[in-house]
Amino acid sequence: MDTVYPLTLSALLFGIGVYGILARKNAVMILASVELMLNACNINFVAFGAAWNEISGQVFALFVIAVAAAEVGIGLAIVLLIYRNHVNVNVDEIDSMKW
Amino acid sequence: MKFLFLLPLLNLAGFLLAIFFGKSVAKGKAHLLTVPFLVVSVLLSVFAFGQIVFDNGTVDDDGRTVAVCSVLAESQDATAADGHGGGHESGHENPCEGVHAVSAATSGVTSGTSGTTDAPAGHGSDEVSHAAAAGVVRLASADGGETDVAQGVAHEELGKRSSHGIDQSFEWFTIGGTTFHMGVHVDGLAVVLCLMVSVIALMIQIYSIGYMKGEVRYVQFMATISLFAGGMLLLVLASNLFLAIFGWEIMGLCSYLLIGHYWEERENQNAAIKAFLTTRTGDIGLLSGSFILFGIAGTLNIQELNDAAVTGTIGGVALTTAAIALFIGVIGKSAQFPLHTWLPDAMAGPTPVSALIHAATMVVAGVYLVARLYGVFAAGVEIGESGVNLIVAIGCVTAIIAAFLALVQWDIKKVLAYSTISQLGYMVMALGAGAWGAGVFHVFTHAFFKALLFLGSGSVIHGCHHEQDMRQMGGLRKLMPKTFWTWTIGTLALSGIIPFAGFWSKDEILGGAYQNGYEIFFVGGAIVAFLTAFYMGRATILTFFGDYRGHAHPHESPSLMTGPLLFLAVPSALVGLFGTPWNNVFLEWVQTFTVKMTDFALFNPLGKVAVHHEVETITYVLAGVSLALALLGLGLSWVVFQMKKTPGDLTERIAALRVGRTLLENKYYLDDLYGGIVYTFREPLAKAVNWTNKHVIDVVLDLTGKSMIEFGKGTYFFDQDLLDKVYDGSAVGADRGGNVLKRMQTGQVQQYLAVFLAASAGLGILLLAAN
Amino acid sequence: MEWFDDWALSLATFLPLVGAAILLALPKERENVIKTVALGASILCAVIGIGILFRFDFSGDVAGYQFEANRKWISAIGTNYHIGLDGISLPLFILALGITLLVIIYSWDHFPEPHNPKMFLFLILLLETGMLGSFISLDLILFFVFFEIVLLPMYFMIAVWGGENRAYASIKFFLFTMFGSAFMLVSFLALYFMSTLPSGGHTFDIVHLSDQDLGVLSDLGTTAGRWIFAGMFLGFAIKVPMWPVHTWLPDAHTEAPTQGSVLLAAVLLKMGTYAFVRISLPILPDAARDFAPYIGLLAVIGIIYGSLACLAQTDVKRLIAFSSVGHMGFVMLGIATLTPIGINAALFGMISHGIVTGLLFFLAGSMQHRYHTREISRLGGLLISMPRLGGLLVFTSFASLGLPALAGFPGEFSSMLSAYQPAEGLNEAVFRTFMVIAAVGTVLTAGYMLYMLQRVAQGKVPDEWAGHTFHDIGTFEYMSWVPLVLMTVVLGVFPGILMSVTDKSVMSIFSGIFG
Repeated sequence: MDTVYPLTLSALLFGIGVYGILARKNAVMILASVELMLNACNINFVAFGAAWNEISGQVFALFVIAVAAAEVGIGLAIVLLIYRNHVNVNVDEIDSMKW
Repeated sequence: MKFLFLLPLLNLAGFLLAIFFGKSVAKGKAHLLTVPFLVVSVLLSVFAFGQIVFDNGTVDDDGRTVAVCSVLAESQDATAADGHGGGHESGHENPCEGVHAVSAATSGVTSGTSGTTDAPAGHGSDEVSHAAAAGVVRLASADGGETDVAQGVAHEELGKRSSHGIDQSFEWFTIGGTTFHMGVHVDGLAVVLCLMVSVIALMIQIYSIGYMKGEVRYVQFMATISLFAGGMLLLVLASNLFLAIFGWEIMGLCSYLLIGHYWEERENQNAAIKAFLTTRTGDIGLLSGSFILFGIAGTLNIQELNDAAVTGTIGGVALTTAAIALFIGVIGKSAQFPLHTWLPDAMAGPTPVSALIHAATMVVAGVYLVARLYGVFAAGVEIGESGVNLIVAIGCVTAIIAAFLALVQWDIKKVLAYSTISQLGYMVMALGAGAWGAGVFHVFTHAFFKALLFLGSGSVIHGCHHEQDMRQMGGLRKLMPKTFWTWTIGTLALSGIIPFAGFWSKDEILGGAYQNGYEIFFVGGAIVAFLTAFYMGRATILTFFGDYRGHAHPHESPSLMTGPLLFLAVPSALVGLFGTPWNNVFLEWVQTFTVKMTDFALFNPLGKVAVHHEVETITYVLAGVSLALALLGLGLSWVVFQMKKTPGDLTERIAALRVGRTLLENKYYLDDLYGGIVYTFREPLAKAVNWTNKHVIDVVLDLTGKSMIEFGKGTYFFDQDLLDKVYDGSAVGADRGGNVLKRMQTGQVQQYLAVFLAASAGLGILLLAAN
Repeated sequence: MEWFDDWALSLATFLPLVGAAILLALPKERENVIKTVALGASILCAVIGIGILFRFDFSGDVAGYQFEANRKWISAIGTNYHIGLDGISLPLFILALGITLLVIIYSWDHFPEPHNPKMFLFLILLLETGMLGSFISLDLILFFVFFEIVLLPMYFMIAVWGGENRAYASIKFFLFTMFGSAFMLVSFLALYFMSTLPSGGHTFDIVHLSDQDLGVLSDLGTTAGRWIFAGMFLGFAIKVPMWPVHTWLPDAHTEAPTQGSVLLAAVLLKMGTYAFVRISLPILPDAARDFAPYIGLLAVIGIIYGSLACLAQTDVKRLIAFSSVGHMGFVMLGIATLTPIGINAALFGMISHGIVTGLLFFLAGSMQHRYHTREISRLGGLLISMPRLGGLLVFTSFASLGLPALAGFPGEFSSMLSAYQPAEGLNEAVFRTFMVIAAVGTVLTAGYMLYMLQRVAQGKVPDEWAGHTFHDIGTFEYMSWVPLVLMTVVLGVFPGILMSVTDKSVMSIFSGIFG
C-alpha cells in the first residue's frame, strides 16, 4: 500500500502527542502523550522500512520501544515522587527550577 | 699610582665594616672602623701625587717609562721666547730633553700668549717651523727612542700613550655584543683630585668625631661619609661613563642620607628629598647624554669618547645634543642656575656634611665631569669658537645670582651655601671659556678654603650652641681665636687676596675668560669677585667683630674640631702658589697623561698655560683688577658693616648718617656715601634676586613637585574611576545580560518543551529549504 | 649523566606536583609534617636547579636549547611535549625555583588567616609547577597549558586568604587574564593552521615556528601576521601588565596574601614578557616590527602612568603594585626596540624586578603583619620601631628606584640605552622620545619611593602604636630575605653574571632577525 497512509497516521498521532505535551496539565497525561509520540515514530519507522525494504526500520522500532519503556518507567517514578512531595501533579505549579 | 683603584674599594670596605660592626664597637668609637681606611687613601693619594710631581711619569705595563712631552706651537710665534734646545731643569732626569713633539697649528689659532710651550722642561721650539711645515710629530720615550710620525698618527699615538696613564680594567659585562669594562683611568687630573678628596674627607671625619659626638646615629653617619668618599673617588677614577654614573648616583644617595640625617624633623626630610630629586632631574640629561654618546660613538670609555670628539669622529647635532644633555646633569649636580635651589636647603644637614658634600666633593662632581669629558664638551658646545656658549653663560649667571643672594642671608651657613654656588659658577664658567686648567685649579683651591670656611662655621655654630643666625653672633674673634684666624684665612682665600689660594685660581679664571675671547664674562666674573669679597666681609664682620649679641656663652671648640681647621688653613693659604702664572706646576700635574687636553689648545690656548714663560702684561693687569676689586669689596664691607656696629636696614642708616655728620668725617662720609649709593643700588638688586629666587624659582620647583602629585591623583582617578570602570563595565554588562536572559528559566517544563519543539521545527524547515 | 640531561627539567617541574599530591594525603593537623614536605619538595627542586646550573653550557657554543626533551603528547592535535632551556629561560627558571623556595621558608611561621597550611602550601606547589613549566615549554599548547595552570592556585590564594576586597580582586584577576588567554589561544591555533612543515603538516612547535630559515610560516601574509600578533599581544600584555590592561594588578597585589603577592610580582608577571621574547618576536618578526612603536608607546605610558599613580596612593602595597607597572614598562621598552641590547636589558630587568619587588612585597607584608594596616597614614617611624626592617626598606626602595650598584640600574639603563638606536626599520626619533620620557620616569620613580620612605620609614611612630614593642626581623624572615638582598647587590655590581648568560642566546636568536 501507499506509504502515505501510514505516514499520515503517524503524523496525526504525533501531532496529537505534541498537543498533549504542550497543553495538558497533568504530568501523567504528558507522559502518555510522550508515549503517543514515540509510537507515532514507530509507525513511521516501520512504514519506511517496508517502503524501502530496509530491515533497519523495524530494528529501530524495537529500539524505540525498549527506550520508551525504560523512559516511562523512570518518568512515572519521578511523577510519583513529585506527587509525594507536592500532593498534586499539576505541572504548572511545579516550577522550583525557576530563576 | 697603580694602586689608586683601591681607593673606592677601601672606603667601601670602611662603609661596610661600620654598618655591620659599628654598633659592636665601643659607643662613639665607630670612626675607628672608617678613619683608617681614609688614612690609607690619603697615603696612597700622596704617594701617587709624589709620583706625578717627581717622576713626571710612571712605569706602564710594558715597563717603559712613557713620558709625554708635547709642545704646542702656534704658527707665527714658533720662535719661542725661550727657544733654546738644551737647557732644562736639573734635578731629575728629563726624558723629554731634546725632543719636541709638535703639532702644527692650523686655522684660527692665534693665541694670546706667545711661544706657548708645555714641555715640562720648558724646551724651546726652534725646530718647530720645520716640523710644523712637515706636519710631523716626534715622540719621545724614555728608553731613548724617538720616532717621527705623521701628525694624524701622532694623535693616535699620543692618545694611546696618554691614555696609557694607568688604565686598569677588567671585562665587566657584555650586552648585545658590546663589552663594558669596569676600570680606572689614572692620570694627573685624577691623582690631584684623589688627593684633594681624600685629604678633605679625612679632615672632615676627624672633625666630625668632635662635632657629632653624642649625636644620634653616629655610626650611620660615619659609615655614610665613608661610602660617600668611596663614591666620589669612584667617579674621579672611573674609566668609563657607566662606572662614573655609579659614583655619581652613590653620592646622590649619600647626600640624601646625610642631609636627612636628622630625619626626625620634617624639614630635613624635605631638604634631603629636594636635593635628591633635583639632582635626579638633572640626571635625565646625564643619562640621555650618555645614551646619545653611546649611540654615536659605540663606547662609553671616557678616553675614547674624548678622542672621538676631538678628532671629529663624532660630531654634529648629535654631539651637541649629548653635550648639552650631559651639561643638564651638571647643572643639577653642581647646583647651577636654575637647578641650584636644593643646595641652600641642604644646609639642614649637619655642618660636616655641608663641608664635605657642598664644598669639596659632590658639587664639584659635575664640574669634574665637564673637565673629564672636556673633549666632548669642547667639541659639542664649541668652546673657543665664539664669544659665548651655554656652559660659560650658565656658569656666569649662576655666579652672579648666587653672589647677590649671599648678600642678603642671615644664616651663616646659607651665606656659604650661596657662596659655593657662586664659586661653582666660576668653575663652570672657566671650563666654558676654555680655561680648563684654571677651572680645575679653582676646584682644587676652592675645596680647601670652602671646607675650611664650612668647618669654621660649624665651629662657630657649635660654640654658640647651635645658633646659626649671624644676627645673634658678633665679637667672637676674642672668644674663639683659632676659629677666627682660620676663618679669616679662608675668607681672604675666597675673596681672592694675594697670596692666598683663591687669588691665583680666580685670577687664572678671569684671565682665561678675557683672553679666550669671553670678555663679557670677564666682566661678570669681576663683578662676582667684588661681591664675593663684600659678602664674605659682611659675614666675617657680623660674626666675629663688634659685640656679642646672642644669648649663649660662646667658647672655642675642642681640638678635634680646631685641629682640622688649622690643618686646612695651610693649604688654603699656600696651595695657590702651585698655580702661579710664573710657574704653573699645578697645570703640569693635572696634565700628566692627559695630553689629549693639549689638543684643546686648538680652541683655547690658555688651557695650556706654559709652565715657564714670560708672564704677559695683560696678566698683571687682569690680576691687578681682580685684586683691586677684592680689596674694594672687603674694604666696603668693613665700612658698611663694621663701622655701623649694628646690622640692620641700611637705607635707614644712610639717611640717619647724612644727618649730623661733620666735615671732619668727610672722607669717611664720602666712603660711606659711595658705599651707600652703591649699596642702595645693590641692596634692592640683591633683594630682588633673593625674592625671585624664593618666590619664583623655588616656587616653580615646588609647584612642579606638587603638580606631579596632583597629576598622580588625576592619573589614579582616571585609572580607578574611568579605566577600571570600563573593565568592571564588562562584568556589569555580563551581569545585566545574565539578568535578562535568566527569565527564560521559568521552571515550567511545558514551556521548555514548546521552545524546544519550535526550534526543531524551525531547523527542520531550514534544512528543507537549504536542500 | 645523560639521564640527568633528559630528565632534569621534567623532574624539576613536576616534583612540586608530586609534593602537592603527598600534601593532600596528609592530615591537616600535622602542620610540621606538611611544612616539611613542602619545604623538602621545593628544596629538592632547587637542588635540581643547581644541578642544571652546573651542567648548563655557558660558553655559547651550543646553539639552541639544552636539556631538551621532545616526546609525542597529543598527536591528534599535533602537540608534543617539547621542553628545553636556553640562556633566555635559564635565569627565569632559576628565579622561579628560588623565589618559591624563599616563599615557603617565609611561610614557616607566617600563614595568613584562615589558617590552613595544607591547602596554602598545596597551592604554592601547584603554582610552582605552572611557573616552571611555562618557562621551559617549547610547544605552544604546552605553554598555554602551563600558562593557565598558574591561574587557579593564584585565584584561590587571593579568594580565600586575601584582604577585604578579595572576592572582587580574585575574580577580576582570573577573568581578565583568561580573557587575554582566549585570544592568545586563537592566535596559537592560527599559527598552527598557517604553518607548513617541510615534511608537510602543521606544527605547534616554537622552535620550528621561529626558525626563519625553515620557512614554516612562509605563507603567512602581512595582515594575517598582524592579527595573530595582536591576539598574542593581548594575551601577553595583560599578563605583563601593560597599560591599559593593567588594572587587575593593583587589586590582585593589594588583596593577595604576602606570599601570593611575592609570587605574582616576582614570577607571574615575567611570564608575559618572557612570552614576548620567546614566542611573539621570533615567530612573527615582521609583525613585531610593525607593532614595535606602539608597544614602545604603551610601555612609556606605563612608566609615567604607573609612577604618577604611585604618588596618589595611600596603601603601601598598592603603591608597590603600581611601581611594578612602571618597572615592567622599562622591560617592555627594551623589548620594543627589538635590539639585542634592548632584549638583554629586558631580561635583566625581569630578573632584577623579580628580586627587588619580591623583596618589597615581603617587607610590605611583614609591615602589615605587625602594624595591622597597609595605610601609609597609619604607618610611620619604621626606622624607630623596627630599625632593621626600616633599613632594609630604605635599601630596597633605593634598589627599586634604580640606584646604580643595585640590581635595578643595569636593566633600566640598558633599556633606555637601546632606545637610542632601535632596530632597523623603526623610527629613531620616536624611540628617542621614548628614551627621554623613560628618563623622566626615573625621576618620578625616585619621587614616589622617597615619598613613601618619608612617610613610612622616617617620622614618628604613630600614636596608636606608641609604646608598643615591635618584633624586628625574625629568623625565617632573615632566611628568606638575605638571599634576595645579596642578589640585589651582586647583580647590581656584577651584571655580567646575568648578562653573559642571556647575551649569547639573545644574540643568536635576535641579531639575525632584526638586523
